[in-house]
Amino acid sequence: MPKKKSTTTQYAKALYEVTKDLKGEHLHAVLAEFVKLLARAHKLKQAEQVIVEFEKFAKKQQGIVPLTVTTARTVPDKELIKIGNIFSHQAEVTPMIDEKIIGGFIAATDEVILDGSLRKQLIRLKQNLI
Amino acid sequence: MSINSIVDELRKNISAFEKQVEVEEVGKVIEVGDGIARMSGLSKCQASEMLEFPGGTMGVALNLEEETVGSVLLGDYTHIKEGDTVKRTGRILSVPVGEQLIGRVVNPLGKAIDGGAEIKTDKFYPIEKIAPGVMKRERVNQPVQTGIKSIDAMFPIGRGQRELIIGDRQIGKTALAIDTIINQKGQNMICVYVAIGQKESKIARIVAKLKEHGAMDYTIVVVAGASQPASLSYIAPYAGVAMAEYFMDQGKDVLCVYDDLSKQAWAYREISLLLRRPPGREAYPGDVFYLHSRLLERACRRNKEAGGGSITALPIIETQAGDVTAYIPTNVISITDGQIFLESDLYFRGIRPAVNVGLSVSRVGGDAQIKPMKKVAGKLKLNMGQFRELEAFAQFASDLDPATKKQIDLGQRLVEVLKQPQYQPMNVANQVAIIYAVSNGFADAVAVNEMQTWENKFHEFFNRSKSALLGKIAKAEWDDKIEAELKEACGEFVKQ
Repeated sequence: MPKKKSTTTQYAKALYEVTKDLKGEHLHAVLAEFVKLLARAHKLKQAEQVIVEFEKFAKKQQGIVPLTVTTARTVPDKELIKIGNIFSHQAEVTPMIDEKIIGGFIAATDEVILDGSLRKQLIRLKQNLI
Repeated sequence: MSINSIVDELRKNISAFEKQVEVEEVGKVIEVGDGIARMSGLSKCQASEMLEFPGGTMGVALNLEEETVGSVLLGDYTHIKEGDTVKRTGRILSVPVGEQLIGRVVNPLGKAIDGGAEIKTDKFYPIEKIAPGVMKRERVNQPVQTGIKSIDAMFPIGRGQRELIIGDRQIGKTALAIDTIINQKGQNMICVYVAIGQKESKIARIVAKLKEHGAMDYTIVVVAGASQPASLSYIAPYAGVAMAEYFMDQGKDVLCVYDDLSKQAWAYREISLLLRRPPGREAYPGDVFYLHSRLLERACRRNKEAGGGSITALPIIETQAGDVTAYIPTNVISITDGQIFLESDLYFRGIRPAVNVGLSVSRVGGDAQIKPMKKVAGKLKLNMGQFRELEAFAQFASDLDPATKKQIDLGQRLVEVLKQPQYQPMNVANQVAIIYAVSNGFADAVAVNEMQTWENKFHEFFNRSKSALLGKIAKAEWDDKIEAELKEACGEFVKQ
C-alpha cells in the first residue's frame, strides 16, 4: 500500500502537539526540525497554509474565538467587548461597518451567525405581513 | 373592508410581532464542482439535512466527516464559489404532497415544470422514511389489472406488490408501464410515474399520451430529466414514493412506476465517486443494494389497523444485451416479488409485448387474481411452456405425431392471442373470454395468421351480445353455470 500523504491540517495539529509545552531553546530546536521535515516531504511551498492552519487550531485549542461584528455605525470598543463576551471571554473581535444592515449588529464566528440586525427584523416583519 | 379595519389589522400584526435574534449555524465552502460541494464548519449538521447555499440553491448533506461535510447540490451551482457561506436549515429533505399534485408534472423537489400554476400545498413528507414493519402489513390479495393479456393471465400483479420490468433498451418496457397506468381509469388507483434520467422529448410524449387517454386525471409525473444534475435523478424515486405515501395514508391504493432504476444507480455511482466513497463491483458504492431495497420496501399493502392503503411498485431496469446477471439487475430481481422479462428476440419476431414466459414470474400475485382468470389461465402457462419446448420442431410439421402437432398448433394460436398493440389495454372479462376460447380449441380451425382478425371479431361479438356474461366475469363470479354459458357463447360465435 502506498504511504498516505499527510494534509496541511495534520502538520499543523502535529506542530501544535509538539510545541505546546516547549519554551526557549527546545522550541527553537523543534521548529528547526519541523522545517526540515516539511522540506523532506516537499511541503515547504505549503508552509504558509500550515501556519494559517496552526494559528486556527491553536486558537481553537486555547478557547480563543475569532469573531466578526458587523454594525451600521462605528461602535465603541466597550460595546464590542460586551458582544464578544457573549461567545467567549477570549473572543478576538474584528469590527466591520455595513450601512445596509440599518441598525443592530451581526456577530459571526466560523460556525454560527447571530443576526440581530434591523434589516433581518424588517424582512421577518414583511414575511409575517404578506 | 374599511380603511379603519385595515389600519387596526396592521397595528395588531405589528404589535404582535416579536423581535427575535436569529441564530444560524453556518459553514464555508471549501470545494465545489461536478454537482457536489465540500464545506468546513457545520459541525452539528444531520445526515440528509437540507443546506442552503447562496442564491437559494439547496443541497443535501451526504458525507459527515471529521472536519468537513460533503453534499450534493440540487440545482445550478455555477455561481457558488470557495469561501461562500452555507446555512443549515435543520430540515430533512422533504417534498410537498397532496391532491394538488395530481395531474401535474413536477421535478423531484415538487416544483411544477408543466408551465401551469404554482403548486400550493401545506403538507410536506420527508423523502427518506423507514418502510412499514411486519405488523403493519397484510398479504397481497387485490389485483392490479394491467390490461395486458399476457401479464394479467400468467404473471398477475397484486396491490402492494413489487414487480420488476426488465429487458434491453427499446423493447417496450415503458410501454408496459404506461399501458398499466392507462388501464387504471376507474379502478380507484392513483398513479405516480417517476421518469429518471430520460430524454425530455420522451417524457413530453408520455405525458401527451397520458393526457390523450385521460390518465392524467389520476396521475402525478415526477421528472428528473437527462439534462438535470445527477443529484435530482438520485432523489427522484424517493420523492415519488413520498408523494405516494401521502395517498396511502388516506387509505388509497397507489401505483408507482420507476422508469428506470438503472439510471438512478448510475446517478448514485456518480455522486458517490465524486464524494470519494470507495468503489466496489462495477464501481458502484457498497450501499447500492440498500439504495434500491429501502425504496422498494416502502411499497406495501397495509392492514386496516395501520390505516389501509397500498403502494404497488413497478420498477424498470434496463439490461445490456439481455444480461440479467449484471450487478444491478440481480440486486433488484432479489428485492422484488417477481419480474417480467422482455426479450429482444421476441420483440423483433413481432411478439409484442415481448414477455419471456420462461424467465418471468410473479411470486405473490396469484392470490390476487380474480377467480375466473385463475381458472382459465391455470393451464395457459403450462401450455406456453410446453410449446416453447416443442417450438423448434414446428418447422418439421409434416413429420410430427398428432399429439405434438396439436400442442404446437395450440401454442401458436396462444402466442397470437397474447399479442397486444400499445395503448390498447383490455378489460379483464374480455381477457378471460378469449383465453378460454383459444385454450379450449374454439380457434383450432382458424389459420394462425388470421388469429388477430378472428380475435377482434370475437370481442366485437361478445361486447355486442354477451355483455351480461362479461359483467358477471368482471365481478369475479365463476361457477359451472357461468363456465357452461361461456362455452355456449364461444360455440355460438364459432358457428357464425
